[in-house]
Amino acid sequence: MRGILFILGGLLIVGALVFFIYKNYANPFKLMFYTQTVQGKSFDKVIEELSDSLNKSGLKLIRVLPLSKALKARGVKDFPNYSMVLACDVEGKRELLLKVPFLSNLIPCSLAVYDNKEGGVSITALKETLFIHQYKSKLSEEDVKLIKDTYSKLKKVIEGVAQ
Amino acid sequence: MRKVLLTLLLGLSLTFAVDFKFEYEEKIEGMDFEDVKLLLKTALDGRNMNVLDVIDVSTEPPRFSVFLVCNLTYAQDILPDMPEFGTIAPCRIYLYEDRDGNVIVGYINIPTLLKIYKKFLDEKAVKVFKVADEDIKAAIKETKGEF
Repeated sequence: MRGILFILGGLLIVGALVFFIYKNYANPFKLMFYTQTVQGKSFDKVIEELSDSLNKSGLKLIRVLPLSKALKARGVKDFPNYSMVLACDVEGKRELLLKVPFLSNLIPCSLAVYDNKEGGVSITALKETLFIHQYKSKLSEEDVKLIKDTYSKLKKVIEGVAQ
Repeated sequence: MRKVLLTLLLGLSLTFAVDFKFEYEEKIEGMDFEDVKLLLKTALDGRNMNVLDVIDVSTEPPRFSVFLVCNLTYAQDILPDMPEFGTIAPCRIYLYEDRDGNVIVGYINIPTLLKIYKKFLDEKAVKVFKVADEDIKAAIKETKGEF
């Protein structure tokens, strides 16, 4: 009897903990996106440093899409500075994407660079963990390593620019 | 302690995430890969889903290409409030040959995205996502010759 009560009590505590975590931390933005904020640098400077750093890290820059400039050219006013930086054109992507085509959302990677509401510049990338888990049955160890290594380098690049 | 909690959270969330299908795919039978590429690009352009670039990941069988597609109006409506979504932009629409020589066209599963983010999206944003999904599906249908 005591044993059963002990187990029930334990389950109750675990359940409450899970509920607490879910209520307070289960934000899909935090699970899916990685963001760093840059202070003290202009938007254009961030783009320049990011582009340079990506190439130096072996995460080959593909192109920069200046979204806000395109919208302003259309006559849209008051759209905050916003660009998408496409990079991570890495060796091995062919084999990876032929196995899991959906991972073309991860590699090549898109970085969102934008003026945030606090007056700084933010850089956001996807988090690779969720996708690795989702497709783990189709991925080899080498595939997982490729994704993890790429995104580890990417985070270092972002952190380097944000400093 | 924070690391333990986050690890537990990630594990739990990943458990739930397994039930979500992240991709939407359709099979196109009886058409050459290059023909599908051309027709799909034309169909997307016709719906203001501009193909900004094409990445040819594999030019030998099995062929694989990725379209980078963008509609500026949709971006204008979604990104000011949810700038993070720029990381899944331009929209990747991928095409590849399967073992039987069919062409598979796929992209992010927008209903899944809406399920995950519904409480963070206003009505306008939800509508934009749904319209984008309809546009892409209509373009695929047109490519297949179904009008």
